[in-house]
Amino acid sequence: MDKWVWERAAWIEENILPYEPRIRAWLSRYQFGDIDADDVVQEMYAKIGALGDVSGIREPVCYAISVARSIVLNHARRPSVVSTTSTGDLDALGASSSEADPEEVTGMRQELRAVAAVLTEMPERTREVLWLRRVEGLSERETAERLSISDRTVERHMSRAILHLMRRFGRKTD
Amino acid sequence: MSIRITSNEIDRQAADWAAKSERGQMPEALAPTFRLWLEADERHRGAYMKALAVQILVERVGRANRGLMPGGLAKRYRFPLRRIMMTGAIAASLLLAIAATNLVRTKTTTGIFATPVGAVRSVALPDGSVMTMNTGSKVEVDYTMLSRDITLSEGESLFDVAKNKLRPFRVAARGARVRAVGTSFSVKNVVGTPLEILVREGVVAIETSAPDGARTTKIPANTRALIDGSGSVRTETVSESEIQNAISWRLGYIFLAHRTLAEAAAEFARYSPIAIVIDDPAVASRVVSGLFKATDPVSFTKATALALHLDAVREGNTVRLAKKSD
Repeated sequence: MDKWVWERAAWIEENILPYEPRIRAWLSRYQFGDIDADDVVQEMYAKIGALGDVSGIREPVCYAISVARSIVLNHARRPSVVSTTSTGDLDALGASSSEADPEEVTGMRQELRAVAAVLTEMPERTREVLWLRRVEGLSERETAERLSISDRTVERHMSRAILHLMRRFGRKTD
Repeated sequence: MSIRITSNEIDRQAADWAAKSERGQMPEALAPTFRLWLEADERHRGAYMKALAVQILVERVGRANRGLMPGGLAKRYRFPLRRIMMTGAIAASLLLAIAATNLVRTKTTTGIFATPVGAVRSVALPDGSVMTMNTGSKVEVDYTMLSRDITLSEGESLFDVAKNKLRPFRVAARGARVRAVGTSFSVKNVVGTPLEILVREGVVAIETSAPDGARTTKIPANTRALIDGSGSVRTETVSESEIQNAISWRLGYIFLAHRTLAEAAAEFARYSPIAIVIDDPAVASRVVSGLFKATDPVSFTKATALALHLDAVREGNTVRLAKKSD
């Protein structure tokens, strides 16, 4: 992984992650061969993560969907799937429209609510570790010292917290 | 058909790897294994990117909404002395007083401080640390109960840090992060020159992102560290008097030790709207030394003209240094 991996992840966080539910909704309309929507989404993130430069991408959601579409096509058993995926789908998603829909206008408040909710779903110690590591920016060692637990335990809580976040964000709009 | 690992299992593995990384960078010892894992299946990279992205979401939203801090964390930190307080009534009341002071001092403070060209400003920070800002500097202070974060977006500042092991003091500038427990150091972030860190007392740790991953360099007292665009750190030992000279800006002076007139002109440009212009390269490469008033480039050019047998001509907002015409 190159040194810009964190910056790229930040770009994805800002431009793609909020729309993952929409991308999944779009994907749910199609049947795949030997893969499912989760596989497509992972591959989509992989392709975006491996891009040399994202600064030229004007409509990230559109781009993400076109990446997802090409993955679907590659895996599709029946080529008939192709004909049903017209560019009209993108418009139906609102992805190509530059107008902010009401969902995005209230996005900040929703985001805050969603993060608050997801944090409370975690066990207390896991939540504390995540907060200290990410929000306070403490190192693994500093976090371990502050909570009087081992480095290994910090890592285990961190892994659990990340997995929970991965499952909760992007999957469903509640 | 080959057996595919489920995407669920891949998410789990990605979360494990992300937990081992520091802002996405794998520790050197794990890097080869991590690379093998990444290349084993295309979906691995995607899951890893998402594992980072969701952390960034929490980081961003959490920092903007400190109220989300887990309750237990806030309580434990506010009353670190609670256990000892049980030991005696007198001790308890004494410690209560300390805890109360501690509460006030650890209040979250955020603010942006800036100095105009030519000004030097001292800012007393709420924890007892003192920040002295040089000309044309912009500093963002973000104090929370658990950390003291400073961002020096431009300019130069000297930090005299109050010791507090539980609350790291960190200065971010141009992609590098300087961490100190209790020490005195300055950071200079001026366009066109490498990022410069000067340590007067104690030890600081500099975190940079190099091409092969994040790196921490420990810098002892009496050391100057220069960080170039690629993130590589170069250090040199400096004497006590060199340090004093380097931070003479605190008193409004520029100290020049065998510097070319071109370098001197660039230095004065930081402090004054009056520009020193030197057209002749032969003149620009002449060398000067001395202590000069930072906001008075005119006096400097007069003194230099006299010493080096040059002409100093003032035209509006410029002073031109040139060979004597006669």
